[in-house]
Amino acid sequence: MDEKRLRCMVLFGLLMAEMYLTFGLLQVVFGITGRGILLIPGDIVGGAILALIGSVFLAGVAVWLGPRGEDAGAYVHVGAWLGVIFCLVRFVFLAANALAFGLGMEDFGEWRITDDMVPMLYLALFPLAAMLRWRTKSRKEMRGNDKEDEKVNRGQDDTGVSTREESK
Amino acid sequence: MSTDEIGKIKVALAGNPNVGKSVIFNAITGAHQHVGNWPGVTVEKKVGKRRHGEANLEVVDLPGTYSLTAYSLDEVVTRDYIINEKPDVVVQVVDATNLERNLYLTTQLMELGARVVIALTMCDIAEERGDSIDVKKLSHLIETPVVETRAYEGKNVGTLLDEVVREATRKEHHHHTVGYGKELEEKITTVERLLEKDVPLAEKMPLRWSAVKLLEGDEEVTKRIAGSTGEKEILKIQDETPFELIEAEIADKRYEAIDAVLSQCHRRGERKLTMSDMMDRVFTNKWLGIPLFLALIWAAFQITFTAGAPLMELIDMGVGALAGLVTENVPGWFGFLLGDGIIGGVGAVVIFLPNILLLFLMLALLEESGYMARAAFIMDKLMYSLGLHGKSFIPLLMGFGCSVPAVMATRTIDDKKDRFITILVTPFASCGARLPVYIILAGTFFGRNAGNIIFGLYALGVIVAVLSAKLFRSTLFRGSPAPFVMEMPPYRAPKPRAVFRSTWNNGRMYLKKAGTIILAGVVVVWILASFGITPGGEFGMVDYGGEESLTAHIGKFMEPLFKPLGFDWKIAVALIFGFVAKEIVIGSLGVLYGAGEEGLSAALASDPAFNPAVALGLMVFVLLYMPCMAVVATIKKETGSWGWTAFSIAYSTGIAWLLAFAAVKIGILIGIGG
Amino acid sequence: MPRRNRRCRCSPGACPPPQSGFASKDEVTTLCDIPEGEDAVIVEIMAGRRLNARLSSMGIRPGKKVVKKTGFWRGPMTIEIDGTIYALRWGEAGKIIVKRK
Repeated sequence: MDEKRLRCMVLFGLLMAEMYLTFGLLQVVFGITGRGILLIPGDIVGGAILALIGSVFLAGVAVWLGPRGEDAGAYVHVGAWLGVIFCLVRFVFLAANALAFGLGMEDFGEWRITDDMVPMLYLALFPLAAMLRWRTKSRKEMRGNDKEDEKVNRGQDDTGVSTREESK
Repeated sequence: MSTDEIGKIKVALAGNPNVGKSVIFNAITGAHQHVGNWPGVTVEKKVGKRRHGEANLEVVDLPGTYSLTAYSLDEVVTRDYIINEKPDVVVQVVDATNLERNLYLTTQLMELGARVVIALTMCDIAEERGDSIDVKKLSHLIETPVVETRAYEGKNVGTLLDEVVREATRKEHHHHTVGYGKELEEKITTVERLLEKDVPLAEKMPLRWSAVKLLEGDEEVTKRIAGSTGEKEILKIQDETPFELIEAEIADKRYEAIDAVLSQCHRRGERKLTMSDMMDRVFTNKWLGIPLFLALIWAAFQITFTAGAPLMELIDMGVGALAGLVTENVPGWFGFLLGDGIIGGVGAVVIFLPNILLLFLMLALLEESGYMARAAFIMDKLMYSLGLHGKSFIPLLMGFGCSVPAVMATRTIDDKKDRFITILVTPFASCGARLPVYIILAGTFFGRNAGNIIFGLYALGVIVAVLSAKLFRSTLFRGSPAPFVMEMPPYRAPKPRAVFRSTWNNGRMYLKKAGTIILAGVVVVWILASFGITPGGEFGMVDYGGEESLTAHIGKFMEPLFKPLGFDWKIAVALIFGFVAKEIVIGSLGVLYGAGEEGLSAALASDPAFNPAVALGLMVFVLLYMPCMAVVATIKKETGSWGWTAFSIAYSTGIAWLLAFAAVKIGILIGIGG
Repeated sequence: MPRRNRRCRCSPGACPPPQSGFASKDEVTTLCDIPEGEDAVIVEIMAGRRLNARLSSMGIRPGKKVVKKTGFWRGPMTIEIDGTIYALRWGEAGKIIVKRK
């Protein structure tokens, strides 16, 4: 991985660290005080997890400043993955709650779709976009990507794709 | 066997753990598999069939092992199978990313006299790492067929099977040997000569292998030669042999032989940083590891319960409608049995199917992605201090969902002591079925504090589990937990097929249980509650669960036992029924109070026999007393012993009684007993 | 003289008996004592017969280059040998004698 690209990643990591930490801590504070605003409801556990994802990004930045700066990419990469994974989790909640509302289950009469529009869901748009970009870039860089290789890659995990990118 | 008489070919599948053995097994046998246990032990045995050309293959999946010593159950099972059942061909699945270690097992399989065919997997990952393997040359050097397989894409499985058939039908069998050096070889030859004298024994056991094992001091093999003609002399040689040194020397020689081969056909590339390395750097980081672990577990549980809730509602509606339909349309007592008893009772269990499937889906995702090994790693320190093993953590965690799969999950723990302790304490983790009991009782008697009380019960369960583990470790199972050495498989994106297969296999088992044990239990309960001695002194149908029913008689008979706890016969009956499934405690109370589950809260509140102290005692009792029928059956199956099963029942019920008694007394002391 | 930080202070019996190599100038220590991210070569494993056999069958054996990846203070650690990652407890790591470059 070249120096420029790493710096780009770290910058992105710093941005993400800020956003996830801010939203996460806000949610924790709102959760404790029992308030909350539209799109940022109070949620102690959810907020703590956002802050944790933020810390992973932040750890990347910290590593970059340290003696082994080239490892920073790992933290940013994994942080982005975590953001996307927890977004999926939240999305499952949304789907389940919508189904419960549809079935008219008790406790769900008051449910509105905005209740489940939480930072964990929408913040992930950033890492998702970044990951897609990294991916297309590494695809382009790949040599001799004949059809066979393409197929293997798609059927296979993303590990393979990123490895190639990493090795550049 | 010659080519014209190919009939059945017995194939055994061997290999190290985590090499993708089950993938190959599934690719070969497809849906034609049968899962059972190896006789006498609880190691899972999978057998499958496949027709390939003229040949009928019977494939047995052997446990994953690194070696063939007598130190672990898996290894003994593997080598006994090869010695006693003499499979025509042993297919060893070999991970191309760590050839050296994988071939170590190969040298031992060959020494056993097996005809080996190697299925090379993970070649793509090895290539990515920059390794290069000259497969043809490797195959030539070890004079063994080597087939590159990509089982996920179904590639080359045909070629592999061609080789298996060819190997099975070959007349000449080249016996491979690793030379152990002059001194050792002389000893081996002496022992071989002695073994040869006992002809019936010599026919049963591969001589060279037995001789080597005897010189290593292998206890199993030493037992086998008891009573043979050469026994005395062999024992004498054993006395003069420093086993540990010999064992180390033999291992060295094997690795030397492997290195000699590999240096000619294998080149290790410059190690590159893979995604898996990057993930490990974060997930096993000393600061981030534990919080990330908690976050992932939280997510898994939330999905299990949040996403499960609406699905359960759907099943509930379906079961309710069906039960209603049957009771209305089928006349007489049979209608009641079918509708209320069977459909209602089995339905109460089937309702948890979404939860169970989701829980297993989450666990399969964690397992297939390679994270489970990291979870054991992260929790090992805490578990060790409690007298448990890092791997005990997963069953304990699953126990909060359902104890049945949790007890089954203890299979991954190698050491018998560690495993038994885990099995015995797992049921103390409060499973999902106990929650409805807490919700009703705490909600009725503790109002605004209900949440804290329920949390307290979960915590009590954990505390009892931890203290029991410590107690068992210092009495029944003395010693420290087994060493923790574990391979961490590389992270990979879970393969949907593998995930769904494992989820469905577990779900199917749960449904099977619902259809057998629980069905039977429910029918018994229904009969006991429906029949009794009528006021006229005759035996016949009475009020369901009423004063005259057989259940009431049982309850009254058991009442003295529960008297000190302040429980009356109705509670006693509910607890007995709770053995079928713990959620039935609430259902039974509903029936006995004639209130249904909705009005139960009010009925309980107005009953003078009930007060907050009794409710607290009851909740503690339900938390801790003997696990439900399905769990008991699982414990029996997993421990293979009625003794331990009985101990588990007696111990948990005893603890439950004592702590419930304490809870009631404390309740009275602090003035909630009125 | 190279700095040797924290001697392995594992549970009694888990520590290898000091041998001649231990006191010499060679950087011979146990896996416990090498910092994260560093590598070393395994010199000897003194874990008793059973565990020795198990470790060697897993490919953890004298002569192998080992990299310490991550560690939880005195808890378990991960190591890499031949591209495979293994986890072991602090106590077991104390029985693996290594030599640093």
